[in-house]
Amino acid sequence: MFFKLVFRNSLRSHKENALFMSSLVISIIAFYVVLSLKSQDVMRYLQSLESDAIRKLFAMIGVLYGFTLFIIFALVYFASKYQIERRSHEFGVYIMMGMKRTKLLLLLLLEDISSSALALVIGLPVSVLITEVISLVTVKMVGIGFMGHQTTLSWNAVLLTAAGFTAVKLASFLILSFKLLRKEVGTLLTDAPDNVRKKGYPVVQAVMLVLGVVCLVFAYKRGISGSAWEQIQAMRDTVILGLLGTILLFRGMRFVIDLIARKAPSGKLSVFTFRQIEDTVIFKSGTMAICSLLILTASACLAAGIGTFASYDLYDTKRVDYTFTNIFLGTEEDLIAKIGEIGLSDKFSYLGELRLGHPKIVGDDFDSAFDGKEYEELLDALDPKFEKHMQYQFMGGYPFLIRLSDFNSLMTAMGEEPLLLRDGELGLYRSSDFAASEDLDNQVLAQKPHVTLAGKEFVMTGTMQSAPIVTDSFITLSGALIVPDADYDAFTCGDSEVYINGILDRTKYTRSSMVETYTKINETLDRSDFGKVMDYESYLQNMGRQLFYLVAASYITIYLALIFLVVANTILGVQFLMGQKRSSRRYKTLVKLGADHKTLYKSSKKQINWYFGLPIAVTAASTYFAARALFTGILSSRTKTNLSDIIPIVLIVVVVFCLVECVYMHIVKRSSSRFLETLMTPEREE
Amino acid sequence: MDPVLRIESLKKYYGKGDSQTKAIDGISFEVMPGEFLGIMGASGSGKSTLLNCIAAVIKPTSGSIEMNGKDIGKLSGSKIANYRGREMGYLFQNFELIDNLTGKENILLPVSLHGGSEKEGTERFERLTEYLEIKEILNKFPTQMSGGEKQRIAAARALILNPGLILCDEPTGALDSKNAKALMTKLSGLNQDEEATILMVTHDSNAASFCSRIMFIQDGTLFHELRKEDGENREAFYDRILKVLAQLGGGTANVL
Repeated sequence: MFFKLVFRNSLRSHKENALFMSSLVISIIAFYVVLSLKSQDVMRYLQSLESDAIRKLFAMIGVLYGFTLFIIFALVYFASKYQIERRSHEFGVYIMMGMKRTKLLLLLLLEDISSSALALVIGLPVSVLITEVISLVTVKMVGIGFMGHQTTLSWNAVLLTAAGFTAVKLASFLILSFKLLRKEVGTLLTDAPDNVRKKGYPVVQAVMLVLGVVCLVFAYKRGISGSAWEQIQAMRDTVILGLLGTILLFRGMRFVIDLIARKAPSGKLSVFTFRQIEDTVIFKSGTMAICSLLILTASACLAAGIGTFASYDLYDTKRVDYTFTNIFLGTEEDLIAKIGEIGLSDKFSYLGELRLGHPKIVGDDFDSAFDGKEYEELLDALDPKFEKHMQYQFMGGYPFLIRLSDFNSLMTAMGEEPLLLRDGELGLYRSSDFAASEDLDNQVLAQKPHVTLAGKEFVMTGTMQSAPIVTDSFITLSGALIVPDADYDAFTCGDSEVYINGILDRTKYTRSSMVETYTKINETLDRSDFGKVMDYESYLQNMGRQLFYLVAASYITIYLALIFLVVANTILGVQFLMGQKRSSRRYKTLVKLGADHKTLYKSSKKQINWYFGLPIAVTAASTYFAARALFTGILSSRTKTNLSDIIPIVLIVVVVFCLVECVYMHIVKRSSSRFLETLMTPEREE
Repeated sequence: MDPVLRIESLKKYYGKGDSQTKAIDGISFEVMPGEFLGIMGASGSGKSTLLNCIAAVIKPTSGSIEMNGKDIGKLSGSKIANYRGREMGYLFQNFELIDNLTGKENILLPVSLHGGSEKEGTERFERLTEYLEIKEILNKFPTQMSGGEKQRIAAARALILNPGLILCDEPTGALDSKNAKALMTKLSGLNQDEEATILMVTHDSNAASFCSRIMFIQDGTLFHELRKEDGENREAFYDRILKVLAQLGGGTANVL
């Protein structure tokens, strides 16, 4: 009999509470997605390229798992709380009928276990399916389809997911049932009384509203103007200002809702509807503010994740695909011949030398080979604040020199403009990592500063060059001087480091087969005798590193975004439904006055729209300003973003949000409708 | 003159066979326009069932209930809700005010639910609030009102749509004697001045003495009926009520 009750109850609760069940399933997916990261195809691939970084990332999974545990606990706790509160009357009846509290606990525990089991049975296959899809999509986007797909199903992840989920479920169960058992039977039997209405002072609310808006305006002004980004303290103050502003805004919002309610908008039950909204705004302003902030965080994470994914262009045409070095085997021609022997020459559209050297000096006087004082002074005049040590460390007195004709032939091969220098002129090279001062440098170069190199007077001219001159990390060249051939040969006395750069024939492969092309050439090189004595580097390593940051950053940020979004929405939904249950007396009165289900449902739908809409609207406004602040603070130096790049990202974020919100609101509306149905028969109380 | 409410051999049975309970067992009566009818009876006599049948909350086993000539047994869905809201006004023992609406908003709820002409509504609102002396508390919330004030707000709400019949369910049950008397005076005033038709279920003989006719129910059947005679004052009618109640209290075996 007891087990029959357990069975019937759990069956009924699954049917009745879509929100609860979907929260459980989402929790399971959240756990599994983190834990199965290792078995994603792209991660397996990266492990072969960047094993160190990947190891660090995998070590971080533990932290992420812990964090997920914490967040999911909040989710499960809230969902279960509503579930238990909804049934408090039923529990009261069990106790009245003589069920011992321990037995009730057992009943709840068994129900809990059965719902957990069901959630696992649904959730685990769904999780595996979702991670498979993620794996396949990333593989497709990154273009490593050639390596073959391996299923992401990992038993270890399955076990840990089940363990984490059970732990979270058990913890929330214990807390909630402890709370339940301490309640008096009378409290269980009667509906929780409506909150005592505090009138409050409209003036205070209006002041809060204005203060909230002022705080937010200040916070965003600081963010957008850039003053928040100068020091950590300034940033902290800005964040506190923003938090305070959001909380005050929601506290003061009652003022506006009260005005709307009193203006008596037309429509069935509209006064009642707005009074209900007002109630939620009064009693749940804190929750709404927190949810609004969570959704803001989610949108920031989502935008960052998608932005990272979209902004990295792995198919950068300005690149050197291969760099060979250590060619003691012979000259450039020898190398070309050897590459021909192993059948790779048709793959390359360009193979050419790049010579790098230092000016020969007399004795140990490393500081006086170059004098760039005038350049320094001009730069200083333009921007005194610019950090000097970053600027000059590479110029110093002993700079790297690049041979002009080598440089120009490489540039031409990459489709760049060659640098034209006459006798007595020098060019400036900075690698792209140090190219933040491009505008300043170009302004200085336009003034043609006079410098001295190895005792000869030069004029620096042209535009600053920053295209890559080798594949990856053979040399860490922050900056160099580009010198006409005759001067180069004279200054270096033929003592050069020689790199042979190869550029692949772009017509022979497509974007999606890029990784595959590199991998195959590398295999051929590694197999050949010549590859064994030859040091070479392909763009693949570089790409691997970029890919790693790209995948790791976007994966984690998008993941966090979705988790935050789900948690915020669940909290909102559960709070609404609990609030509705608490005000069931009001609905019953309306039924007695002849309100039908359609009318009540319509009012409820409107309340849900507002209840979700208010935090989302605040978030939307915040997101707009926050994004602008981000562009001032972080992104300006890194990306020269134009609007057409951002619009698709913004659109994706908006669509994802709308979709998630619609789904949640729909679920809450359905639950609400079902709850209202239970109130439709007016009963006469004796 | 046609009756507002006509009830014909109404029966409501619960259960089957031996365990069958006859909550109402063949009750017939009519309520004429402008009448103030009281229904009295002990707990379990069938008062609630009768009221629930009239309010279309439960379906009778047999018999018919006609409201202004319409058989409410044939109504369904939203028509029932409309019938409940438009054709009837309610006054409940526990007021049933919505606590997060002001007095005014509570009174206007039926208008918001069932519509009606705004001009008529405003006129009626003014007249009712004036008559029930609640103009001062219209902007207060129920928690800021006394029991008497709440019930007068509820009365205004019951009357705002000018319903054909006002059902009062123990309207004085939660009021002290002073407030109960004040409310009954107002109700009977409305009955006389506005010819409002009222059907009131009560335990309170004092409240019942304001009625023009009283039906006593016992075990699901009509047990007795009292009519206030022309010129009879409230005190005399009250005494007659008490006598019937004494008979009811003693049970049929002892008295009849």
